[in-house]
Parts: sequence; C-alpha cells; structure tokens
Amino acid sequence: MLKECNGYATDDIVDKDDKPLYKKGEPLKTFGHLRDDGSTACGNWIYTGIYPEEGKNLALRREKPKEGDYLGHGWGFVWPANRRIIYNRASADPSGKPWSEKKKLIWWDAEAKKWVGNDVPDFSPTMAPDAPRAKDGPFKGISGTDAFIMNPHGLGQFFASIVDGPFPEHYEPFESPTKNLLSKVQNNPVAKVYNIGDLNKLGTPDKYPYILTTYRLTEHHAAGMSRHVPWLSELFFGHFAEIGPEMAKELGFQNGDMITVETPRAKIRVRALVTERIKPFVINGKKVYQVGIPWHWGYQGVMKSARGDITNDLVASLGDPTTFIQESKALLCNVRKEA
Amino acid sequence: MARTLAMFTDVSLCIGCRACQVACKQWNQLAPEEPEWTGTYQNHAHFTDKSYRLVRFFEETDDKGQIKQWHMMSDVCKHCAQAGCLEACPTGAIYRTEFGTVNINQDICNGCRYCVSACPFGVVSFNRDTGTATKCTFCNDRIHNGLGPACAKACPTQSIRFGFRDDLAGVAEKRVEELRKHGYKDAQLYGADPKGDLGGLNAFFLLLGKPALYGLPEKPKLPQRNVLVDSLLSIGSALVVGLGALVAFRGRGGRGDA
Repeated sequence: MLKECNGYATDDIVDKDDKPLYKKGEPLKTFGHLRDDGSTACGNWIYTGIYPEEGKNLALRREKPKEGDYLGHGWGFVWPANRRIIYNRASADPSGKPWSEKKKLIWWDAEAKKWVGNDVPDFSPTMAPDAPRAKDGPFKGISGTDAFIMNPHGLGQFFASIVDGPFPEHYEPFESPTKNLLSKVQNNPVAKVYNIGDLNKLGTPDKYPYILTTYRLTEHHAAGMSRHVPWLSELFFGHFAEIGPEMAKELGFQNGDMITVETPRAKIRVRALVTERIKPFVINGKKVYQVGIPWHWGYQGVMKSARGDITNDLVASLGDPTTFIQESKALLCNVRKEA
Repeated sequence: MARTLAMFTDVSLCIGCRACQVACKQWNQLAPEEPEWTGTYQNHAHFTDKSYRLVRFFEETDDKGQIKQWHMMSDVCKHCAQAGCLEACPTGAIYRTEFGTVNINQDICNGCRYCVSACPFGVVSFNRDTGTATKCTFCNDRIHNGLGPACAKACPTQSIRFGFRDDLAGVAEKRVEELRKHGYKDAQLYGADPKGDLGGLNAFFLLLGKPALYGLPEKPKLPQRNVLVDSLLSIGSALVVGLGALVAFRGRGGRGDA
C-alpha cells in the first residue's frame, strides 16, 4: 500500500536521453518523475520518495543526524521530498546568503550554480537569486527572489482573501443571549443565510434563555456511520444533553431524567446528564446557563442506544460567509423537564 | 517459567477514548450489549462476560463541589500473583500460564462461579450462554505469538503498556517520580510491588490519588482468607446460641412442672 501511495512505474520508462530510468513495477524516487501519460501510478504525489526502492520505508528511519544537520533528515520522512521547512528560500536574503548563520537552511552556491544547504530546497534548484521572472514552466511568474512559490506572485501575504476581511471583527452568533459588546454590528452582515422559511426562524433570549452548543464525541463518527457499529454504539447509553448541576436544580430535574430541548425550529427529547463539567457563564453581567448536546443520534441505528432524536433539527442553517461552514453551532434554546 | 509479562496502565495519560474497550471486543469477538444508564460517559457499569476492558469515568470534586479533575481509568483483570479465582476453582479450569497470567480453560470450567465471588476486583463474570466463567486473558493467543494484547496495541497515548514485568516496574517508578515533581503529589503505583498485596498485580496501575478514588480496594484481600476466622466465629456463636437455648428451655421446663 505504501508503494502505491509512493507511486511506481507501470511500464519501462526512459529519460530524455533514452537512458532507462525505471523498470516496470519499480517504485519512484521523486515526484519529479511522475508522468501524466499513464506510465506511472501514484496515490499522492506528496508521498513520492517515501518508498524509494522495494522494501525500503523511509518513514521507519531512525538515523542519527549527520554533522551540522540539525533538521534530522535521517529521521523518518517528511512530505514532500523529505523537505523539513517549506518556503526555505526565505531563510536566505535576496542575494542568496543566509539571513542568520545559526538558523541557515539553504543558500546559493555561485560556483556550482545551484541551491545547497541543510534542507532540501523548496525552490527551483538552479534558479539564481538574480534570475528574472520565469516566462513558463512550473515556476512561471517566479523570479530568483520570490520564495513563496505556491502563490502566483511568489510573495508572502498578510491577508488571505475572505469575504468579511481583511481585519478580524467579533460578531455575536445570530442567536445570542447578549448584545455585541465589541462592535456596533450585532451579527456578521455577510453571513450565508439560507432561505428555508420557518426552519430558519430565530429565537430571542427572553423565550429561549439558555445557550446551546452541539459537538461530537470521540467514540462516534459523524451523524450516522458509527450508529451501525454495535461495538461503538454500546459505548453510550443513548442521546443525552450535558447540563450543569445549578441549572438542573433550578429546573427541577436530576441526572438521568428525560428533558425536552426546544428552539424555534424544533424540539427533541434527550436524557439529562448532569455534570460539574458544564459551568454557567456570566455574560454582560448576567448569569447564563449552557447546555451541550452531541449530535450523533438519529432514527436509524443498529441497537437501541444508537437511536434518538436528531440534534441538528434544533440548529438554524447559517454559514460563515467565506467557507459556508456552519455559523450556528452556538445558539439559544429552552429546556424543560418532561412531565 | 518465562519472564512474567505485565500490563502497566498509567491513568495520567488516559484520554478516555475507549479504543482499548473496542479493540478488546473486536479481537476476542465479544458481543455488544445494550448499555445501561450510568450517569456518566462510562459504559458498561461493571465488567461483564462480554466486556473484559472497562474505562471508568468519574469527576473528582473539591469541598465546595467544584470539579477538580475528570478522571478516566482503563480497568482490566489484574492477573494477581495470588489469584483468588485460581485458588477457588475446584475443577482446575483456572490455571497460570508460563508468562504468569491467569486464564480460564473454557472446556474444563463447570460454571460453579466460585471464582466470581473469589475475585477481589469483580473481574470474573459468568457467561449464561456457555455456562462458564470468563475474563480477560491478556489476549493469550496474541501474547503467545509476540503481539501483545489488543488493548495495549490500540491505546493511542501509551496509557496502557505491555511488556516484561520487571522492565515495566522501572518505567512506572520513573513516571511516578516525574509526576510528583510536576505537582501530582498523590501519584502512586497500585499493585506494582511484588512483595505487596496479593503478591503484586500483573496488571498494575499508576493512579493520581488514593485507590478508593478509583473504586479499587485500598488493601485487596482474598475472600477465602477470612474462612478460618469466620468459621471459628461461627462455631463460637453456635455455642453461645446453644447455651442460650439450653438456659431458656430449662427455665420453661421448670414452669411446666410446677
């Protein structure tokens, strides 16, 4: 399997000068040898070189570092190409001399006309520091001083391109028990709000006074996969909500009682797991209780403990503006003991 | 006899993922059981004939009821040097292997369950389907093939370590010292000393508090050690009751004559 990840020749391969490079079935030594004509196969290019010859797994290496190699290139394998520090061209100044003698990584050897040093260069190995922008090839647009080769302009960036950037700002979740104390704007004005009518109705703290957070448990995977594995399903009794003892006392229920958790979107029945681990917050001078509900349960499952109400029914469909990743994992709810 | 093999469980490293529990069930092909409500993340509540490994979860609180620490501890059969189950077994089904572990031969066990009550840790369980007693074997088939138990293999934090007992005891000593240096003043070993209770446990533990905190007996004792004293006490009380009866009957007989 490692060989398949690493990549191998599916046919006899020759190099530019017609010299034999690989025999059919031989593992590849570097991702530079990968070809897009079907004569090589590779699971993932970043691993090429981890298995350079039959039976040799570089990840198992535990060699003592050579004199001066403080990056330990003989220990294991680092993708890609056993390069320890990416963009290591930036460790040398524009002329190719290391900025720091102590922390030097690579430098330009003017006589040999190539980059040499402690690490595997993350740069065109023969591009001189005074080279102009390459017009084509894999380093198109990169000049001899542009260390950040994965960016089209070759330069570092202070800001990534995000919709609500570039400066960070604190916004309250769409359902929040408080007004935004850090900004005049309450919610993210460019958040992705899905138009699904009542399923996205939002609640207010007077009707829904408790904070609700949803999360995963180590033992379960996603919202359905581990429900069909009995050995995992037996690790939890069933769907539950974690609640602090103070809140449980106030609402009159105990560890193990059935409760109803409600939002404007839905309500679910779960068992209360009363625990000291859930603490009340003091937000804007007011004490606010929190409820935590894992979301692994659903109507299908291999055994009783795998089945339960669906936590995500409670949650509104709102997304972060750049990635659309759920914005609404912190929300408001109401809780009551079941009669 | 080969060198004694042992398991060292360092609770300070346990993250409560329960990979050990699942790996145990998978290797030993133990059926799942519908869990019961324990009020915590723990399942099941105790060892069963289908659960040889059990991660115990509990919250330690201070005097004010504030949480001090959330403890997780992966518990298992201790394979005691003086094993209560082995001593109690009338059929010889329970035996000690060349590695010092204690196993139950399922073909010989007659299901009398003396071992169940003789275990000071509540490990041995009765399987109603087969009519035999079962418990952890340290994955007998695996250790005879140089693999180490499934739980230790699965443990992602090396909280469960498996190896030669003398080696592991050294590792454990060092770890306790290190933890104490870092402020865990109550860090202590449980069952590591071969001169200690039950001749030492072949599954020993590093605890962050007193054994009672983890539901372990402070001084584990074999129930059968009470037999002599208890029998003498029974004989004593029988004598007292007999004498009392004699006195009582003599009094009543006297009245009847009158």
